[in-house]
Amino acid sequence: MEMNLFRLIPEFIMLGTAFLLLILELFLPKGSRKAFGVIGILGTVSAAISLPYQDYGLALAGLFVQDQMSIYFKWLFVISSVFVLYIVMLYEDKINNWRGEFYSIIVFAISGMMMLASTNDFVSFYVSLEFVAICLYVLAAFLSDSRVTSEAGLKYLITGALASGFLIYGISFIYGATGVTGFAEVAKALQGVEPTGFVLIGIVLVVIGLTFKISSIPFHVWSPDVYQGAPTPVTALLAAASKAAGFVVILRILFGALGPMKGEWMAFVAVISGITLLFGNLAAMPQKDLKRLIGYAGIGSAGYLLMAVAAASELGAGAIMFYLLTYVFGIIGTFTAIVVFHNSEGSDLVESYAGLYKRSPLLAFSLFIGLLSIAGFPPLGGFIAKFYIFMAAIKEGLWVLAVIGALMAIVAMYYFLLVIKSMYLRQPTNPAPIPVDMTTTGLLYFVNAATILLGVYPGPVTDLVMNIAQGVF
Amino acid sequence: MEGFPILSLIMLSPLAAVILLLFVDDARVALVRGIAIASTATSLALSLYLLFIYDKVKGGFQFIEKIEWVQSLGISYHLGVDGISVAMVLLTSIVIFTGVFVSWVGIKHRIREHYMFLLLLVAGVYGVFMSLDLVFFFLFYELAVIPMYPLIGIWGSANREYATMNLTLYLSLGAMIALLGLLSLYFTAGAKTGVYTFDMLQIASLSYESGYQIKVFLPLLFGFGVLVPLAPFHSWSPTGHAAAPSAVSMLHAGVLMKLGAYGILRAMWILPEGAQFWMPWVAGLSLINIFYGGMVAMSRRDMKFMIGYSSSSHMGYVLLGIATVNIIGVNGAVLLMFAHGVMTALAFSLIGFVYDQAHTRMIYDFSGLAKKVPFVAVAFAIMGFASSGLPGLANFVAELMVFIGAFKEYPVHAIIAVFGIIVTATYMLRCMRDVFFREPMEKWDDLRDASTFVERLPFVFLIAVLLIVGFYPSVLVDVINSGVVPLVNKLNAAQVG
Repeated sequence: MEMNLFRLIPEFIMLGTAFLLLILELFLPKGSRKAFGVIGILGTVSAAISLPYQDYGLALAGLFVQDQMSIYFKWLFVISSVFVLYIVMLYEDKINNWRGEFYSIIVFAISGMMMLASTNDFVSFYVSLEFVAICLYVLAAFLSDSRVTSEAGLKYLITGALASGFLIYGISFIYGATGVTGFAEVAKALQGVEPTGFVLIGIVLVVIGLTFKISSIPFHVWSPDVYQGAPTPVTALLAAASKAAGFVVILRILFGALGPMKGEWMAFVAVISGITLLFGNLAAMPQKDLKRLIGYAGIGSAGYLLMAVAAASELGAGAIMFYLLTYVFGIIGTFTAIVVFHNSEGSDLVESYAGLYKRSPLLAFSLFIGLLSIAGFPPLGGFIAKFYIFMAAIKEGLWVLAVIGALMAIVAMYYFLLVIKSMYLRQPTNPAPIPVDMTTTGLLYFVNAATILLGVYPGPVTDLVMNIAQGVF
Repeated sequence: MEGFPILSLIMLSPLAAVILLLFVDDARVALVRGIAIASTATSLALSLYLLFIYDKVKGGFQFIEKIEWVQSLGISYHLGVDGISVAMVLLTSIVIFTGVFVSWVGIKHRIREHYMFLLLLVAGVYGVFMSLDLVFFFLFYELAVIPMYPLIGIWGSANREYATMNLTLYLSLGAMIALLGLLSLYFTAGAKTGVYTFDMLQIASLSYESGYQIKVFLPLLFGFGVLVPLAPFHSWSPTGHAAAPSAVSMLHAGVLMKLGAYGILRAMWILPEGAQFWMPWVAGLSLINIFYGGMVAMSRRDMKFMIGYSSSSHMGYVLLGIATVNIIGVNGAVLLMFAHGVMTALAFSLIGFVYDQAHTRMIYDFSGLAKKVPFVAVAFAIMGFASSGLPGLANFVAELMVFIGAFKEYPVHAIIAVFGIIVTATYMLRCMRDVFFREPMEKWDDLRDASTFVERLPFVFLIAVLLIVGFYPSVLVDVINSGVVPLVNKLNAAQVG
């Protein structure tokens, strides 16, 4: 039983940073906690520096695995973490009674997600998942003096707890059928076996339980409320990192552990995907609040990602990984702009963005790039990602799903173009320019450049994810 | 061909201008216009050069450039042109070059952004006509559609927000549906050879079962047909034309609609049996285009709406020519794509010129303009004659070829279609009479004729092209023919087999 703790160095660095922030909180006088953001970012960057030096293999006696895929997803989390922490620093100014734990809980959540990317066993999976979930429950309800936030936090907690119940129940069925909890062992036990009712119930419950994290049908209800009500940096964390964490788990469990049973869950996932696509995109159309709109659009995105899951192929897995990378950049750019705008205007309503191109060309352009990338406009990264997902679906002959996806892509264009219309086609009611500081400007340029680059030159990343996807089953 | 990447240069020239314009100050209008003119003039010169250096005897795809883009999925940046594309590239260059001058006169605010979107759109159009890779084909196709949204939304006239949303969504839907068909082709072709590639030459070189061809041709026909616009999927087009600023209408009717027809030609080339199956349907629908478009054009009082519907009527002839699948008919269709592109660009630029001063486009608001703006009146008359298919202008040759081709394959359709010309002549002549002749009205005393070099250049240039091709069509037809012959031969072989 090898422990190989050095394979957990990135997680340890993150955890250490989080504890450091907790302790510092005790010794510092009340007031601004921006220095915490800097410490958090430095900690994240140190974790990132350790990533390329990781070797592949098992750790913690097989509970934990470090492979190409876990490293890829850890990069996504690290990127999200840096930007989310930065957004918190911007956001902090506007909040009374600010408490420094906010930073440390975010770092805790990220370290949990990094563990999720490496889970190799149902036990370590469940523990990591709950760790992340508890952090996010706290974050979602952090502004306890706001009713909207409290409501959002409560909804998130209740649906989350229910989904966890489904998961653990399903896991127990699978354990009952196979007698093991390790992903590789479960896959081995299920190889070539006729599926029994026991296993099938387990699969169905696990799939349903997993839909909470990725905000798809049937556990999607929290998403619009929480996206709208939670502090904006938390919304960004949920949208970007938490969704990616949900899908790395799906790749590990559905493709990895339950891969031999893919004939059983493909159709089920396809149905969930179709309904999710329809619901998320159609419900997004009438939304007036940008964060809520992105919440519904996020459900729609989950539908697309599930389309690639339903394809249950290496191409599908590669498409998911590519999509999530572009999604992280799209979300980060969008939410940075939203926070800056909110700080200046105090509103998230789409109509308040009228004429933004005149007041701050950079914010308007970042929202333009971010939203259109999520919507899948060429030549942005999101387009290539959606293209790969359609490829995966067509390859497996999922024509109905592909046609639904195509139609919903047009719907998505519609509601994102409404935002663009407000920003570029309308005239501002208040023409005062919105200032954007130097660091934010630089970060926005970086994110926009990344989104465009992923669309214009997707070759290297595609080759990388397709290579990683080879080992997913 | 090794060495000089002429195709990339034609396409990248507007794209380079877009990037350059990013760094230019809004207030430096002269510089903005200078960059736009320089880049489009470069493309135009290179396109003309391309027309003359293209080897008509050899035919096939020439000037091929290929760079790996996504190796693991077989996507490459792969350009090449055949006779059909050469003509289309030249058309694009002519329309955008004149369009830049029309915008000089017509666009008064956010000038830099206007040119950026306009040039971005044109780069997309060039890309579609040159791409030999299905992914890039699709990518460029979308790149040509999406800038329409801001172009109409920001600089358009009445009803622009509705029109631009309608247009963008409709065209994107077509593109998405076509994409599904293209992806299916990728996997079917890959399964046959074991090498998965989006290389159009490779995919077209294989033969597919007829059942499959018939099935997959349909999404492609629908997808590209929306852009033509094939009836009954044309509703986006006239509203879009009417709301768009002049230069955008020129590009939209002059070039964008041709992308659809070009896409259909390429789909026919890849799936010959599927094409043979669906062509009688296309021929039937083309008559609806011709007559429905013509009749509605007759009933419109807004000149832009009239030309918009007239365009969909003329595209009916193009579709009829394509549906004949014989050498003269398809040649006629491609030549008509060119001729109509130039003619309709002229029409929209003229109407735009009058509208910018008069702020109305209603036929009944005008009378006797010929006395006030003789130059515009003459140009408009020439446009009207071209549109009605009078000899000496490019459209006559093209329409004649379409009819000759159609008589061979669909004699009944052809006889019906000929009457479409009378419809066209009716509304064109009536519009000319009402707007330019009869008694002059006092309220238009201040109307200024096109008098400066910048104002006159687009009109003169477009008329010159119509005349040159009208009197000496073989300058284009020889090149087009070298692209049409292999296509038609492949289709006819499929019919026999």
